Amino acid sequence: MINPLNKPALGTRLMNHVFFPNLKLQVIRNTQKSFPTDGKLMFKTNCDVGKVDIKTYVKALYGTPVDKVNTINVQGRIKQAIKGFGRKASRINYKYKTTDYKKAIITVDESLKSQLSRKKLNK
Amino acid sequence: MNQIFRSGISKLIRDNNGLYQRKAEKSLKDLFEHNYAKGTYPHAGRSWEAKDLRGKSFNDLHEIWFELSIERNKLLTEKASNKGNTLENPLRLRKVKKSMAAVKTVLGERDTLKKTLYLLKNESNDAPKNRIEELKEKVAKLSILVGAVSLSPGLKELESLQTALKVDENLEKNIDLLVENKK
Repeated sequence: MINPLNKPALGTRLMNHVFFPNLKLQVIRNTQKSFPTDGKLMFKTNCDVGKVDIKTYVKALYGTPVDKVNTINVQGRIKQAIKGFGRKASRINYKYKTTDYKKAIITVDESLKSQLSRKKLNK
Repeated sequence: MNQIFRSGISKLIRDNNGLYQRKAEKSLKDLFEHNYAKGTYPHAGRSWEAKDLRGKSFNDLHEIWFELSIERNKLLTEKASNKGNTLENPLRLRKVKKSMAAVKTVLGERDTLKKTLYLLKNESNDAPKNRIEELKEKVAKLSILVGAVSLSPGLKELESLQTALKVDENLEKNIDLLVENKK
């Protein structure tokens, strides 16, 4: 397909010239607190997403170049169903599984660490 | 304009050419913007529907898709960080999903029109008449929906097939002459 926008939108090995990518990037709780010191952020994504895809996705949406991406596949936990509520709650012989997901940790250059740092108050 | 995407769309400005351009710079701060003041509630309007998006060009849809995906990521982080995995206004996420689906339906209509035009072009003269009539009916139905939008920006061979994009040059010349005579 010809690039109608005349700009490099998303060019990767898998998602070559995809203009409508359908990814989710959910920041895991409280991982942004150490971002000003480490330059790392941890995301939760779908399992079928590659490292190169995440790099280009972040570059396209948020305009920040990513140096490195580490990924971990995490299996969903097996849970036992519970019947009833409160004191009457009792376990049933039925188990279910929560959804699998992929953790993705991105590292950003030192000059970009100030994006999420809070401004100091002028005294 | 819809109120849900107020935070997203307010950063966009229309050019003279009709294209959207961002006012503010992109940054990772777009992931976390949901710190509401005490006593306030994040109001939300209605979602984008297919009828709103049908007149828009490919570039506009592309920009809207990116803004929607930024909005979705923002809401998902808010949901994960909040107590009890609940949003403050839980309908917002569903509205974003619905409007993303509307973008896909509009793109799907254009894609089916493109494919049927290809089939009509490549159909031989010996083909049964029912087959050609069916295709022509399909094209007539879809061309009303799609309107005068180029199906494949950059491919001029296909644009010549679309009747909605064709212009009567004689008619335009006559109109120009009339305007000049009035002056």
